[in-house]
Order: sequence, then C-alpha cells, then structure tokens
Amino acid sequence: MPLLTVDHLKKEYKSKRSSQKVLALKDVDFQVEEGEFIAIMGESGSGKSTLLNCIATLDKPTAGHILLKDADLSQLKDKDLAAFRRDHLGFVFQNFNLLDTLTVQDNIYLPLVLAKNTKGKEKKLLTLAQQLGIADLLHKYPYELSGGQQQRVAIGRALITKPELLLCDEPTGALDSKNAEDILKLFSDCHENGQTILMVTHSSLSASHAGRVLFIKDGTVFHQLYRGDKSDQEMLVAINDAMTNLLGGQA
Amino acid sequence: MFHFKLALDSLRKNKESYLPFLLAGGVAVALNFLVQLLIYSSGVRHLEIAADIVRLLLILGQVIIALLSLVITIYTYSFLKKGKEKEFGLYSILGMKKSDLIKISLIQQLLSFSITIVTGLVSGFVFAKLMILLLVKMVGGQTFGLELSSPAIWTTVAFFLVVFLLLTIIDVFAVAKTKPIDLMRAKQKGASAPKNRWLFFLCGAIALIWGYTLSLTVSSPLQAVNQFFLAVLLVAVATYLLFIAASTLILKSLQKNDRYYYQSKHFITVSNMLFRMKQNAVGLASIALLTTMTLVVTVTTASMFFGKADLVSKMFPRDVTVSVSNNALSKKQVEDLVAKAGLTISKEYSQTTTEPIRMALNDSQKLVPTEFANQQNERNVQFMSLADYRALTGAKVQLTSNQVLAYTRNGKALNQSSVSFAGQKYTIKKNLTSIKGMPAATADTTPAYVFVLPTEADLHSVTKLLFKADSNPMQTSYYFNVAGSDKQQERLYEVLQDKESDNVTFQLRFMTQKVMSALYGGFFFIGILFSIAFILATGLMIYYKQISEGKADRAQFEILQKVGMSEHEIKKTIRSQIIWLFGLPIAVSLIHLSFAMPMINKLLLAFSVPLTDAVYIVMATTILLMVLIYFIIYKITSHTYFRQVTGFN
Ligand SMILES: Nc1ncnc2c1ncn2[C@@H]1O[C@H](COP(=O)(O)OP(=O)(O)OP(=O)(O)O)[C@@H](O)[C@H]1O
Ligand SMILES: [Mg+2]
Repeated sequence: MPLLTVDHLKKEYKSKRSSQKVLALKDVDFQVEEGEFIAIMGESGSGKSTLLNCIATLDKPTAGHILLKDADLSQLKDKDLAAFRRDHLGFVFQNFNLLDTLTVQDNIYLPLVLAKNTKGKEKKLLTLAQQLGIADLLHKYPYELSGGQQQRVAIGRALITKPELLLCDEPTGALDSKNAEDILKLFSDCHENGQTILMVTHSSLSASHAGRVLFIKDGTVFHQLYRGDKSDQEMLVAINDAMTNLLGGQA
Repeated sequence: MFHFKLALDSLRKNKESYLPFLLAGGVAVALNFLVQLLIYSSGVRHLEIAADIVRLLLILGQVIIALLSLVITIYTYSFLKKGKEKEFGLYSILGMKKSDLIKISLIQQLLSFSITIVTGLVSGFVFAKLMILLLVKMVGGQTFGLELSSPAIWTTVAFFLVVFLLLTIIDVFAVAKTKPIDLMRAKQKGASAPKNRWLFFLCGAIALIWGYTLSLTVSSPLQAVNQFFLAVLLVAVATYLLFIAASTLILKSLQKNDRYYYQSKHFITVSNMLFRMKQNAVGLASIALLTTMTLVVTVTTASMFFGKADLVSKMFPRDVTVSVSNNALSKKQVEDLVAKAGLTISKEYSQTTTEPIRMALNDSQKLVPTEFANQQNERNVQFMSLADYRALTGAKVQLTSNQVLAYTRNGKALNQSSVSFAGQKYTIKKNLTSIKGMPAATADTTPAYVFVLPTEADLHSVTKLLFKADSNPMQTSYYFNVAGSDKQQERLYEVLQDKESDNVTFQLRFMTQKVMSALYGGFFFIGILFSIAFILATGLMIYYKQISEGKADRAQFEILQKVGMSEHEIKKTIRSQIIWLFGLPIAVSLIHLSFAMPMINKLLLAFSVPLTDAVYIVMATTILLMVLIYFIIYKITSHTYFRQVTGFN
C-alpha cells in the first residue's frame, strides 16, 4: 500500500473581490511509496504550493481525496487537524519559519512539547543535532544564525517527531548554492535512512537529488521522471532535457 | 515644498502606525490640559477651606502625569520609529542627504505636534465641561468654575513642545548615527533576548521598600502631606525598574525549570512573555501606575465625599451649637435670637466644660500647657466636673478623689492607667468611648481629651493653675434643633454672627454642610475627573499595545499553526498571555494600594475625614468597577487581537 495517495485532486480559489474562480489544481493524481524522495517541479503559479498545502492539511481540496496510509484527510475533523499534522507530518519552509522567541533547542523541541511527548527529548535532540551539524548552536536564538543554519534547525524541528512524510516547499529557495547543496545532501542522507520526502522546488539542481520528479503544468501532473540508476549528474541533465522539451524551457 | 510633500506622503503611508501614536499623544495632551485647567480654575481657587492644599496636590499630580506623558509618548513613538527609519534608509539609498532626512523628520514632528495639540486641547476642554455638567448634579447644586485660561494652554503647549523636540532629537540621532543599510534593516532586526539586569532589580527593590516604608511609618497627617510626593515618586521609579528587571528574572527562572517549561500550556507563553516583557515592561509599568493612581485618587476623594455626612453628624448632635463663656449670653437670650430669625427651637440641652486648652503630652502621660507643641504630641484638653457630667449624660458614676474619666476624640485613647496635669497625678477610672450629648468629632484633627474631675473644687484648682487668672474659663454650650426654612436658617446665621465674640461662638449644621459640600464636592469632582481620564487613558494604552503587537504576532501564530498547534491551543495561549498582560498591572496596583493605605488614612485625616467603614466600601466598589471596566476593555482587545492574529473569530 502506498504511503500517500493523491486521488483526482482539484482545488479552486474563490477570489474575494470578484466572483471569478482561480483553478489552481485541475486533476492531480499520483502516489508516493514509503521511503521515496520525490521532487515536484513546475513554473511559478502552477499550483505546487497549493498541492503541498492540501497534503499538509493547511488547505482543503475542492474535490478529490488525499490518503495518508488509509486515512482520508478530508474525513478529519477541523479540531483534529493540528494533532494530525504534528503526529504524522514534518514541514520545511522556504523562509524557515522559526520562532524568534525560542532558542534553537526549544524550536526543535516545539513539536514534541505540543504533542506532550517530551520524554527522552534530550537524546533525540542530540542525535539529530549531530546529524545536522548544529550541535554548537543549540542555545543561540534564530536571529543569531545564518540562513543555512536556520534551515538546518527547521529540518531538525521537522524530523524530531520522526514524521511519516517530510514536506518541503522550496527548502533551498532562500539559500546560496553552497548552503543549498549542503541542505540537499542532508535530505539525501535522511532519505537513505528511510525518510519519505516530498519536496517542491524550482531548481533542477535541487530536483536532481530526488528519486522521482513530478512536473506539474495546467493543474495536472504533466510528466514523471524516474531516477532509475542515474547519478545526480545524469539526473540533472535528464531533468533539464525534460523541462526544455515538455515545459518550454521554463522553470 | 518638496520636503513637505515627502513628509506628508510618509505620514500617509504609515497611517496605520501613526494614528495610534497621534491618539496616544492627543490623550496625553488632554490629560495634562485637564490638570492645568483645574490648577488655574476658579473652582479650585474658591474652595473655601483647603484651596492651597488642593492646588498643591494638583501640582503633584501634574508632575506625575507629565512624567507619564513623556514615557508614553516616547514609548508609542518607538513603535513608529522602526518603520520610519526603514523608509529613511530607502530615501538615503535613493540619494538623499542626511540634512534632507532631518528636514523631513522635522516637518513630520511639527505636523504630529500640531495635530496632537489641537485635538488634545479641544477634547480635554470639552471633556472637562461635559464632566462638570454631569457631575454638578451629583455634587449637590454647586457648580464648579472651570474656564479656558491662557496660562493653562501655554503650559500645556510648552510642555509638549519640549516632548516633541525630544522626539526630533531622537530622530536626528538615529539618522546621523547610522548608515543607510542599517536604517533599512531597522524593522527587520528582531528583538534580541533580554538579559538579566541585577542593577535595575536592586535599585528597584530599594526604591520600592523605601517608598512602602515611608507609607507604613507615616505618623501624622502633616507628615503624610509632606512625604506623599516622595513616596509616590519612589514607588513610580521602582515600578518601572522592577517591571523591566524582575519580569525577566522570574521568567528566566521559570525557563530553567524543565518540568514546568516544557509543557504545551507554558512553553509558548513563557518564552513569548520573556520577549514581550522586554518591549512592554515600560508600557505595563505605566499602566500599573495609572491604575494605582486611579485607585488612590478615587479612594481618597470618594472617602472625603462620603465621609462628609459622617463627619457632620458627629460634629452636630443638634442643628445648632452656641458656646458661651463668662455668661455673655443667657439661655433666654439665645432662645430670643432664634425666635428673631423666625425659627422654633426643640430638643434643647446644654453642657458645661472648660474652654479647650492646648497642651503637650509626654511619654509618661503627663500633660503640660504649651504654645509650642509639635505635631506629634499636641492635644486639645477640656475639663468638666462630675456633677456636670452626670447632668449631661444622666449616668450614675462615682469618682473617688484623684480619679478621672477620660474621653478621647480624633485619636487613640490614653493607654496608661494614670494621667498627670496641673501638678497632680490622677488614676483613669475609665476611658470613655463617648459622652452622650457631646459632639463625637471636631472640625480640626488634633487629638482632644475631656477629663471628668471628681469635684467642683478639683475643677477650680486645675483651672486656676492652667488658665489665665482674670477670666472665667467655664463655657456653656447650648445644643438644639430648629425648624424653619433655609432662608430663616441663613437669617439665624447672620443674627448669631452679630453676637459672635471672644465669649460667644456658634456652629450651624446647615451652613457647615453647605461649605463642606462645596469643598468635598469639589474634591470628589476632581477625583472623578481624574479617574475617568486615567481609566480611559489606561484602556486606550492597553488596547493600543495589543493591537500594535498583533500584527507582529501574526507570523508567529501562523508558524505555530503549521507546526501543529491547534486553534484551541492557540486561543488558550493567546488568552493566557493577554490575561497576564492585563492582570499584572492590576495586581501590582492593588499591592501598591494596600501599602499606600496607611498614608492615605493620614492624608484623609489632614482633611478631617476620619477613617470609617465607608472608606473600605468605597475602595471595594472602586476596585470592582475598575476590574469591570478592565474586563470590558480586555474582551474588546482580545477579540480584536484574535482576529488580527489568527484570522478566525
Ligand atoms: N489563497 C489564495 N487565494 C486565491 N488564489 C490563490 C491562493 N493561493 C494561490 N492562489 C492561486 O493559485 C495558483 C497556484 O498558486 P501556488 O502558490 O500553488 O503556485 P506555485 O506553484 O507554488 O508558485 P511559485 O512557484 O511561484 O511558488 C496561482 O494562480 C495563485 O494565484
Ligand atoms: Mg509556491
């Protein structure tokens, strides 16, 4: 059974001013197996963030279903959504979204505290901090860190609950290429440790670390690209080719 | 013109943060103007008895309000400054010189100055007039003269000119000191984590203990009047310092306690409060002070107002008291005078004592005649014979020689078993709590004794030693009720005034009540005016604070929601934060009030208001009302804040 099933997902936005509707997603249909690392690509405004927000239960689909294992997200009651998010999902955002009033350590503890699951938190933090290379920063505040460091902390916060699915929206969008490369290495490592990752990105370089790339256009999954046994380099070439051919060279 | 346009433009663009600032400024102007109007008002000038003291209290109040206005204005301006600096950074990157920026800032200050001054002056005056209309009815027909006086206007304008000049200087420093890139970043730079400030804490603690001690150890009404200002100043400074330092210390120690801190109900609240307290300490301290001031002023003035009836009824067992020495008027003559005024007498009785004599009481409870007693040991003393006492009260007491009965008014009863005067030691047979027919209170506040001596001979020997030889110190007071119109009572006042001399004194309940209504009514009016103004200013400040922070907090709660905090939990967190922010100032002000009570008691005594149960009832009512008003503001604020922060209702 797939970990995540997106079943004929449709999402319309009603504009507040006019009665006109914006069709962000028309019919999106795909599945994610446990342990997969998937990148979602598409041009600006193609609905990538919308898709991610629907999976993240931050937004409600207009039609269609999203299933995590066999739980239908649309069946969840509003008041259970938050608990569902923190128990099953992890998030990494483009602009880190760390709380400035918490130290690095407390930012990472946040989901555990919310889940009232603080037993053995020190041990979890220690392993994670080592892995992410932020062990020296634990008592600093986010505004004292560089962007790359902040994103590591955000990843730490997303992973500390051992989520079934890690959702990332442009995780490297605000970083320079060196920092971006480091973060992607981290994702690859996590992926090797069995973490399922769904990542939205603009950059083909970022996507080249993934095991599968989904291209979204006109509100549907327009094309898929499997890594097979390609190296990162070959994958990058393949992605760029696909974009030139299928999307008209834009990203 | 170019600068003017840019300045106006920037005002318009930053409307959202400018409006609350202008509002706060306007309220500050209105408050100051109000006090100034009162200081120069004919209403205060014409307070018959204590105009000078009232004026003094008002000036003290003015100093405190001026301080508060300064703090509030600078504080609210600091919110605005960040956005403005960013804009200036942009201008300067676009190639504007620093002198241009300063010019723009100057124009902006001038604009906001004019707006706040005009709105403040107008609203302050209108508010005062409206309040007078409203309150004149409560106060009992007496109107309170308050007119637009130019010294009041000029003082207010001059003060705020200085305040805005200060703001401009702050601006100039900011522009002159920093590089454009820093100006650009001003808004982005997050507040850094607060540090422990032991020095602040120490100074605050010392000032607080000092201030509280002053209040707790104040021993006389005069001392209370003298030390009131110092105590207020100390506590005010302490409140600021402690809000800044103690809040950080406490919250940090809470953070160190793992078991407490890492619970979802405390985690966000504590860490948020730590940062908030850093930005808000000054604001919260101001609110706590405003609240305290409201409570103190209302309690004081309302006690005076309600204590009045109590005082009058104690001072007057009957409508009229006429005291006669040296047989200057006979009972018949008094009755004739009353008849002349067209009034009829009823329930008449008389009492015979010596005239009061000023004496000093020493530690071994010995009384010596004096002209130079200090405040602490001065006493008014009267003597009467047992026969007169029995005639007055109908009591059947016996006294052996060297025994006396002692009656004390306006102070603590004698605490030793014997008392000495006129070279003789007497055993106190009984400390009387009242003498039937004798007024239980006097117009002045000096403690007063009446000693009942066993025989006429004792009385003679005492008076011979203590009073001048050539006059008869015995005084007979006639007490009686009169029936008739107000006109006739006024007529009686005039008739008696004609007869008034060294040997004849009199008091009319009717006239005293009238004078007191004017005095305490005026007081009450000032108190109410202050309180309403304070409560409004406080409410506005809290509301403003929450709303100006709501925008900044929104991002944070969005993150929390994404990370898995439920709507319910977010609401709970917000609620507990707002409750802290509301509750803390009230709690602090209640503590301040309890420590201020001894001093307030003495202050009230300075105005001849004895401390009665009425004071506590008034106090409880004031606190309840205050909490109620706060609760309403809290509800409105948290509702707006919820909406602002979360987008749900
Ligand atoms: N809350 C909203 N209300 C109305 N329309 C929206 C809303 N959010 C997104 N849209 C519209 O839906 C479409 C898809 O937006 P989405 O943010 O998913 O794009 P994206 O692929 O993430 O773009 P980008 O790469 O620029 O982030 C856009 O046309 C956008 O204008
Ligand atoms: Mg997007």
